[in-house]
Amino acid sequence: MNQAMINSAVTLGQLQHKMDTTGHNLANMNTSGYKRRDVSFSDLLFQQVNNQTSQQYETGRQTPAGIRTGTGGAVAQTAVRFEQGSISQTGRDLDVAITEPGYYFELVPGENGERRFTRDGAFYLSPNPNNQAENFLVDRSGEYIQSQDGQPITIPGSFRDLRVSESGEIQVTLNDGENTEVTAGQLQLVSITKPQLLESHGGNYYGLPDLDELNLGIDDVLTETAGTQVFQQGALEMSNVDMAKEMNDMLQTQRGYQFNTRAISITDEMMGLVNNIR
Amino acid sequence: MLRGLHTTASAMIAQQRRQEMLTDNLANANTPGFKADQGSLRTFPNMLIQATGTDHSRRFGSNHVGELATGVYMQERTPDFTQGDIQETGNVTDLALLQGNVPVNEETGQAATLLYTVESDDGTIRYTRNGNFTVDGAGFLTTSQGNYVLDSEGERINTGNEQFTVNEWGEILTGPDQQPLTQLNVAIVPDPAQLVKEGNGLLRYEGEEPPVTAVNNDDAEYQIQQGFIERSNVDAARTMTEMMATLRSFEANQRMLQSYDKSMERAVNDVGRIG
Repeated sequence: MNQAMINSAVTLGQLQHKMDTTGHNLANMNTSGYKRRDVSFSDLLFQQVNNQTSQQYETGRQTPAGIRTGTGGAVAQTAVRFEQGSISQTGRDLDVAITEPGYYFELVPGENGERRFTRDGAFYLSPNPNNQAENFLVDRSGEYIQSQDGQPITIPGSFRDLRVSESGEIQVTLNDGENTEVTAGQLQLVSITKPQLLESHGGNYYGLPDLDELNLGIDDVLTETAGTQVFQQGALEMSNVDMAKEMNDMLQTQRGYQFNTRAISITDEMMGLVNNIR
Repeated sequence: MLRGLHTTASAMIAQQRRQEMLTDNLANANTPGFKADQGSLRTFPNMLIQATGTDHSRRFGSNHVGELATGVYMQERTPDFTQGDIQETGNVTDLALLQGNVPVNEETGQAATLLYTVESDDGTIRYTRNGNFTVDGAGFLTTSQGNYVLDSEGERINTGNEQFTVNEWGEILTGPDQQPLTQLNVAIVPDPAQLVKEGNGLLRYEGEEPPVTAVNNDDAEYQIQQGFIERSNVDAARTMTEMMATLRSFEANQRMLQSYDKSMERAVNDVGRIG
């Protein structure tokens, strides 16, 4: 195929990837704790064409011999951007926002034992089937929220008031006629120092890659910082997607797409001319 | 055979090469730090036509008819190193390099260009203007393709994490009290025409005069802006216009080719026909 056509065709596919990411960001504009992704482009391989091998004829030439033909552009990385989302007041007791970037709630590991983190602080209560007198603190999908000691957090079944302190301590006032105050647990908090290592697992969760392969220990990646004063009860962290930016990206991508399709049709017209020589 | 046939065919090939260049420029209209290529077409070396078997020399004193060129080819693609637009992204790992006054070659009038130095896969030095960097798993500052960005000592830069500040002359500061970690290198490439594009935003320098550092060097002025990227300097509207001109030139040459073919057709079918 004509190299000019390959250039445009390759780039069309890559622009579509960019559009996919923009679409995904826009779709998650209202997902609490969602972190947007940024797409950046890079040029692709260059190949050398030696079109004039007799150097003595190449008078007035400034660049090294031959010509370098590129092969289009491609997505180089889709980096997650971890800047803080805006905090929205909900007034709901079980909504907890993290007010500083870099920190995450930790969930109790699932069946395969992987550590999972989230910024989504919309919690619910789920009854403990083995003990009628207590409830588990869970997230939207029913996964257990981890306490500082690595266990699921349990909340007494009958209470009148639940408070989450700034440092993540959960205190409840029991409905026992005497208003006894008990500490139900301490929310686990981790600070991820190499956030670009995090893998998105869907469902608003992040996980860690195979650290042995990267010659890293767990301490190189995260520190457990339970007790740090970053929690805010009755509020949720909104997604950090900026709609204006995404729309702007979308328009630019669409125009880029149009320019490249137009380039294809011009190249096609040239090939048609070749076909019509005779 | 008809010489013009080859002339028009070569022009069509040259225009096709131009189209390849233009589509590549357009494809990289969104690539940070990309420098658009400009093509130059050049006529084939001239040849001297000599008359034989005529009385040309008796009438004109020599057998020489004159010079003739037999076509055109695309001689070179020169990247245009003018500054691209600066766009704010807010990402700490995006570093835009703004070029100020730079040394100008007195003979050619060619201005030098300022570039970041990075390490290629085989450990040799490459240059880039794409300041869309990232911090890899081990904490090193790399390009978006994973090539290590080098400091003024030629060493890799380990920032540890994404919490760092870069001041306007490229000093990297880390930690809560903003201690200087190292100095990002900016190279002055004296002859930008000798930079060869390698893909992935990397440029290889083939010039004789070695690049020097712009750090603490009064010859070149520059500024580094953290949280910004330098956009591609491709002008989509201009590229599109050039593409249309290329198409029409290609078409005109195709028409010429057809009319040469018509002449040959007459030579084949009509010359020598009786009655």
